[in-house]
Amino acid sequence: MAVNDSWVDDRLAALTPDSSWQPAAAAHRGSVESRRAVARHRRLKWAGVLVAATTIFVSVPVTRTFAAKCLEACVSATTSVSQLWRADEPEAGAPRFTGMAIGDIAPDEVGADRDGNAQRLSSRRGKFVVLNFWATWCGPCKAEVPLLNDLQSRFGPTGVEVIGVSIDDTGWADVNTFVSAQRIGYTVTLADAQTIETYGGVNQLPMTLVIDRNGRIIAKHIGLLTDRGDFHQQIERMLVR
Amino acid sequence: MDAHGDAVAAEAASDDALDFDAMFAAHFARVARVVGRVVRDRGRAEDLAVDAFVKWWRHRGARGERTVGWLYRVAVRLALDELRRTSRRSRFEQVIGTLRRAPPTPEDLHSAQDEQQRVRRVLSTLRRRDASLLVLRSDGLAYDELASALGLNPASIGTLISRAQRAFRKEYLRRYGSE
Repeated sequence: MAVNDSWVDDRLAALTPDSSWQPAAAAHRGSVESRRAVARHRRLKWAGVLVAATTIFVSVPVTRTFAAKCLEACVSATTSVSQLWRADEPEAGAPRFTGMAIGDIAPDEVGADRDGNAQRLSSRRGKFVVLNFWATWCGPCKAEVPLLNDLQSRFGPTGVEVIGVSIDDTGWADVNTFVSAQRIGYTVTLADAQTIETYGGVNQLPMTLVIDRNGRIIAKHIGLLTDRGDFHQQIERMLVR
Repeated sequence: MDAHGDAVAAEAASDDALDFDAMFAAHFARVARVVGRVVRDRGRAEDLAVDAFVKWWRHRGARGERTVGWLYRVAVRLALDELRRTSRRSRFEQVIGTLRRAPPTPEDLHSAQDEQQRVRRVLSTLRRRDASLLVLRSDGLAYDELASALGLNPASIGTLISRAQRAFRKEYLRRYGSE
């Protein structure tokens, strides 16, 4: 498109600097060098401050725990928001589930294995069970697999069983792919709608319940399990009791 | 780092310094004159041109073929920002002056009539992209140079300049009322 607005060009021509003005680069060499030196110094200073702040933040237990809790809160909030459009609208008149609470007896059935055999807590009496509800589309669920694997390998011989209860509604094909990809080393079951309902309608993922030797829920955690140390200590304390 | 690594780093730093010196010597005058179109004070214009070069030196992504265009874009933006700051300050001083009922000085009266001042005031009210296009075009940059400097599609430069000119004309006439 041709551009020809000479009236505007005439106005802008008023800005043309006087030809007697010839800015000399040499006159500004000193100024450039000093500004570059300041920039270099500032960069180094900020790098130093960042390293020092990170070191202090990571080495002090209080701030480290605080950071872990912030991360956990963020993940939990993100999960809740994503659930808003994942969860179906409840039907009118349908009961509102509030989830299982600490002190409740956990429902016996915890999904079925690959062969369709129902898995029950009653067959695990005398063991602590860590029941982790998850789904293949849930990002934080993937992140906590190493912690649960670690828990199973460390406490399995002393009477703890980790069970990952998938609430996927797409069947075992997706679940199997996820289990292989994430190298899950603990028991995995697939829950149907009825099982999920008996557990209060799992509406936030991941959700982890710790169930004692008598089938009673003694700990409940919604969101990503982040602090391996804290969780291990908690389990150890429970085992001693 | 070993001795070879030190030597490579020193060579790279030395190349970097040479590149900077060469660019500075080759382009400083023109970049300063572009800034000088927008900023009245020549000393300040040269200062801002130096700032543009220091920014370029700190921004490693702007090396290579994009260098010259990048420099012009940054320089004209720095100049327009400075112009807007000055305009704001001037409006504020006018308000304060009105409140104090201070009479305008002869310099104020002359400056208000000055065509350069009018054009700069109008530029300070335009969108940054429109103002940048007009300033760089008035400095003689070709369409492809304008497109490269401002990161625009070369095919639409004509349309964009035309739009910027219309915006300029409209604002100028609104303020000063005659052609």
